[in-house]
Amino acid sequence: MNAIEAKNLTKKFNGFIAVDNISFSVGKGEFFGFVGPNGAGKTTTINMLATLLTPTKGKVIVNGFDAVTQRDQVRSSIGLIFQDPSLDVELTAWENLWLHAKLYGVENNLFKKRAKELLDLVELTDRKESIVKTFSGGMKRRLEIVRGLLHHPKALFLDEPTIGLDPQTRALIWRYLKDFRAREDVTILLTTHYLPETENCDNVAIIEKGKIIGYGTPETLKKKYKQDSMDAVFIEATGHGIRDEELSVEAQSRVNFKQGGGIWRR
Amino acid sequence: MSNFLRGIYIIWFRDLLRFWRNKTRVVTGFSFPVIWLLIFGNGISASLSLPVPNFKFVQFLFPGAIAQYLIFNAMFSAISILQDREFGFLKEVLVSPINRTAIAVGKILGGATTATIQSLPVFILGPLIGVTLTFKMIILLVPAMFMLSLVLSSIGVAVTSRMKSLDAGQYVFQFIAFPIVMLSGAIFPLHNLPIWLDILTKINPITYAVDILRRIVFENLNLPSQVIITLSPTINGKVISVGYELIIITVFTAILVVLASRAFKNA
Repeated sequence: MNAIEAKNLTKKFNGFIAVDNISFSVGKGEFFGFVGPNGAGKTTTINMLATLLTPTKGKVIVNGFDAVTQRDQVRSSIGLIFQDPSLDVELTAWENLWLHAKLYGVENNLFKKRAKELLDLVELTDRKESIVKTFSGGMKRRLEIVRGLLHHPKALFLDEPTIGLDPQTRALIWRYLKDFRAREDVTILLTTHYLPETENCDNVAIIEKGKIIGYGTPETLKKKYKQDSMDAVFIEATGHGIRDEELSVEAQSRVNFKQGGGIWRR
Repeated sequence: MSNFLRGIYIIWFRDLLRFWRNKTRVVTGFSFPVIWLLIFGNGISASLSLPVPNFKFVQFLFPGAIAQYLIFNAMFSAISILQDREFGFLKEVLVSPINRTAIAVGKILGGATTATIQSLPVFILGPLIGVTLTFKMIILLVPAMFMLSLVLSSIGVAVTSRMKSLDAGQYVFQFIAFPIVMLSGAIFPLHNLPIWLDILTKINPITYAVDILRRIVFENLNLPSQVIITLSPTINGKVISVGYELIIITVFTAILVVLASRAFKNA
């Protein structure tokens, strides 16, 4: 049985089609990468997998549970790391983990053992009593990964886990993820637009304008597009144009204004 | 512990933990009602006097001051939901397998508990500025204050759970809180009001919760029953009993809990 099974998945927002009839599956213990330009529908897809959005059409099965009709079972069986931080920055790292354990009904002794182990792995043990406000971006990310794994999820979803981090920290995050997967049989699905990172994945899906336009191992994709790096594959598959997340009217006028030589103050 | 109770407990506990962490909030919270009583109470009593011998104006203001303080505090505590939305923690809660009604109830209880705790120092500071307090009064007042906070906190949660941004939230709150305070009897007695104002105060459920506070303070002071009657809300000239007031408050709170949980279900 596959860990994730998506069939004819579609999501529309007021007529705008964010995800357009996609189907894919991720095997148990697989490391699966979702790549695509900004605004391609990666976050929308991950939110549907994680029960945060209801699909307009289609079906999602996660760890054997239906993501629409069996939300709570799906929620208990996954760990989720969002694109934006979701820690309580007023509390300590340990308190954040404790709250999470309680939310997922992890038994107290089990929680302490697990939290200590995981904190050790991401090298945050000596900061566990610090208020999260004092953490750097990379430390917050590492803490979120610990939190996402705390309740022994069968699948871990990460939405742009390395965004905004320096190369050293990005490499570190990837090392942790690989370590975790080697230690326990967890399925990992992540989205990213740092292409070189996807060389670490078992399978990669390239998503563009809500559709999957390429799928396979990094090796087969490179062969298919006759390129030697994932970066080149990506550009070959999605074209050379610059993608912006849809520019608002205000942002457009700001661009025009700047091009006219003015100084935009805000 | 069942999923439902565990959810309520953890959401409630987090609010208390955050309250305790935030020392500024603790200190300013404690001092506000006292400042209000001291300045407003002494100021007004200098220019007004009640036709009751040996009755200080601060005494009249005391239940109103507690009520007014709780109105702002308990209702505004729900703003934390918007902060959680803005800073992301709400997502962590919403993606967990916790029951949505438990989230709403936990939030409401958390706001009510912290508001009540913050108002406790009035029992120490009230007597210092001339308010007469008995032990029995305090024993009755604390649960009544918690109940008032509970209604207000549920108004707050029902409103904020439907809003998306912190900025808008603060304006909407001012807009809602102000009439609720003004029309509750916490600031002026609901007596001899023009008919339209009278109707508004009576459809404001907070009026009844404030009245319970006032009755506890006044009925334990051996005041002429005339005073209590003039101050309490009436229907067809008859004073509404505390029992009915409790029913009104309970029904209203229950409706708000349902509204708040539904908002979280759709979130």
